[in-house]
Amino acid sequence: MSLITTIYTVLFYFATAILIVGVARKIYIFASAPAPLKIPTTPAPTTRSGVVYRLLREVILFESLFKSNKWIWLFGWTFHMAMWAVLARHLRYFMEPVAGLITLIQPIGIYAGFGMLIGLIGLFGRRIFVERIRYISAPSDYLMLLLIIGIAVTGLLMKFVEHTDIVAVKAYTLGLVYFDIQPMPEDPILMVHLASVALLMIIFPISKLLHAPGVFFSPTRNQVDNPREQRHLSPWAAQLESKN
Amino acid sequence: MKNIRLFFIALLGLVFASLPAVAENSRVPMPEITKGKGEQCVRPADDMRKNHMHYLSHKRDKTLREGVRTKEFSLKECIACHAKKDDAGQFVSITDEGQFCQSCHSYASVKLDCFECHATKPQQGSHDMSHSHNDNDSVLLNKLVQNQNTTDN
Repeated sequence: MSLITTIYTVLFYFATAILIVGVARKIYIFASAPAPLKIPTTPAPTTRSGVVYRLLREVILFESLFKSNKWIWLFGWTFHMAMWAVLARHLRYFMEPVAGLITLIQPIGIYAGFGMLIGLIGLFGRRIFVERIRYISAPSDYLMLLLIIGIAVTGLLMKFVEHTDIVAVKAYTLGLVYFDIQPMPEDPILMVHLASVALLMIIFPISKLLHAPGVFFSPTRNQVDNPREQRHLSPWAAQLESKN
Repeated sequence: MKNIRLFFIALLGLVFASLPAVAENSRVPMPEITKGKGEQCVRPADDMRKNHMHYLSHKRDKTLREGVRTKEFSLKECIACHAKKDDAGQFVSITDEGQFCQSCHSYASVKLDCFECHATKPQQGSHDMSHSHNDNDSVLLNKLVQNQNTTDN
């Protein structure tokens, strides 16, 4: 096994462990964080199923962003949805035989690669050209965008400019899955692509990218608007009451 | 601190455990890549794996639009070399499961659309005759193209 294959293998197992353990830990923290007040943003659904429907609209359509700013919604929504298609397209590297649906989505995923890039460039422009946003932008805000732009660009380069041996790439990724390491193709663009992905996986649990699981724990979005029907009482407050 | 060290030891253990014990009997599903009949492909295998689709479609444009019909990168030649025969001595379609084209294309989930027009097996019998005829033409055409290229430069 070559040095580069070894390095990437260690890197990917490390990154996967960090991603899974890190995000699970954060979800546990989010889930056990107290929500002492009833603060759904009104108009809010008055039933539980209504809340589920609202959250679905929020994560699928980005409803609240759409209501607040149309052009940011356009770029943000385009990027996120295109990313799902691209991720689905990449599933072909992790299954053998490839599922029919994943085969069907292959051509869509190619166009989605450009969609992702357009969305990201729009969001990057937002940080630079909108003064209010530039003022509150931290280095990590730019870093996240640049990192994902880098991943998208190297991915598109491999599709349209300088191919890599994707059969060998799949053998390598399946090797990681089966714990039976196969040699990784040592093409520079692929190496940049994969290293950026590993870096993204590693910083995911300590970055703003946690908005992905985080949106589900947002009290203004996930609470039922029923303060009259049912008294909102957090466990620690209930304890205080029972003592008196 | 101790936990972190344990974590890294576990990680290293994982990596070593996943080193292939014997290269031949790997657990990883692989496409069947059968060797062609010839000594060597028209380009190194490495290059063909990455770029065969461009060679083929470039060749198609040259042939179809400019009438330059050469033997190199001819799909017919690819199939003549890579097609397999079954037990009955009949050629197997190159797009059948496990055959040369199909094997990797289904592995990588890439659509294989050459054969919506082109034949998937070598033509038996008549193949050689039509061939020699084409060969003469292609030699002439090659010369023509070379001349044209030199005058262009």
